[in-house]
Amino acid sequence: MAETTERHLTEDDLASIATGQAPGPDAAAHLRSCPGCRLDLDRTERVVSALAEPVTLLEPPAGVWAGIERELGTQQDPDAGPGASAVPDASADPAPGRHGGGGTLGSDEAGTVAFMPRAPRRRWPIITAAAAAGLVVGAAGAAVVAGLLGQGDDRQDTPPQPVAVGEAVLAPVTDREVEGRAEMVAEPDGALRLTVDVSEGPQEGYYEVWLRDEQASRLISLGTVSGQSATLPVPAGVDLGRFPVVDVSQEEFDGDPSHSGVTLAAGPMTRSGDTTAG
Amino acid sequence: MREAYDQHGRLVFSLCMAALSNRQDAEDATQQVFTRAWRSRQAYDPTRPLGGWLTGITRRVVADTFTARDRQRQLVDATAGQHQRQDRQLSEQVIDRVLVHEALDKLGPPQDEILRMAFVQDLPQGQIAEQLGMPLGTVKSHVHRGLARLRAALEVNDG
Repeated sequence: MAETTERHLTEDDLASIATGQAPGPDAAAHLRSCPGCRLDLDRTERVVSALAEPVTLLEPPAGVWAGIERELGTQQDPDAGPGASAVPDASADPAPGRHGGGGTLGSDEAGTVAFMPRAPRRRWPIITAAAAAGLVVGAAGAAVVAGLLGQGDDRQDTPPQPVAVGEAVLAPVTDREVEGRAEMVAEPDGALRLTVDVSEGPQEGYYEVWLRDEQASRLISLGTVSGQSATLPVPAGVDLGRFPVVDVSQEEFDGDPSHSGVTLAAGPMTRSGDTTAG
Repeated sequence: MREAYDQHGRLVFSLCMAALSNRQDAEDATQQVFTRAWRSRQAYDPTRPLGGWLTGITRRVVADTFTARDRQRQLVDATAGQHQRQDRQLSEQVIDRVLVHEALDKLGPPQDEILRMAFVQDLPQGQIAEQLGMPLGTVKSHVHRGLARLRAALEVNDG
């Protein structure tokens, strides 16, 4: 009664079937019952036939990138390819817009586009490791904010004050030992702000502050820090439950808008006054 | 953006060339792909491979280019319908071909060379082993691992 069809196809099976050999009876039976192996075989066959067809891979001519830049009106350095060193003249180039304000407020219409795509596209091994190292995360922040904003009706005799929503202790991630803390407040009008203080300002480049999930697969840039402190607007409507971690990264003036991959300090936001994390 | 272009510019341009068979059109299309990508960057899910997303945009730009060509042709030629119908879009085979060869280039030695010998030149693995002075088992395992990696390149497009 032994199920001989349980065994998945090996690479060897896949390669030989894809190159035209008939599958053995076990493999054939398995293929009938295993969609995963059928998909693998299908892809292997596509690879083998694609390899047999010649194709010309062409680098786009230089004019194409220039056209993209022109159309987007960006100021990206055309020479800053991968591996290009950090742009050294950045500090001598205080072009307006280059240092930017609130991250997500950028738009394409300003002549100088300071803001780069907010969609990160790299993996962040460092911060992922930090996240996996057991940073405990406070509960769904959005609900907290909603709750706090609903309050205040019974305190009409005092002028409205900003309400602390949450705070985060930013633990050092690199051996530069930069640490800090962040506090988020809700203004009476509902606007959220995050104040970040760090133990040491940037030696070169600048810092960027992010809200992200624990895996660092989703990030929202809040803005930059050039000194040791900054208060940054938080976009209205952000779900703090999905972006519970505050992250401060080291960035270079390379025109690359994504997270550099170097997190200096990070920590989870906990609800203010809440000691029962979770 | 520049990084995306450096990593995937060749893929996008090669796809456009393969589909459009016209250098100027391919350049324009490549430019459009990246400007569209930039403008719709909010829609990009960073947990998915960037190459797959760009390939999807390339598909749409190529389709739009064909539509624009048709329109152009109708303006100058009332008998447009009688023109030989070309392949009007980026076919799956063409995408597969470009993705696989692009990934093959990135495999690096000796795996890329071994796969070329095995599947482009169609040499038996025994002969490859002999030519490269490598044990047959090593050649086999390069072939297997290489195929697995090229398969992964296709997954990017399959979504």
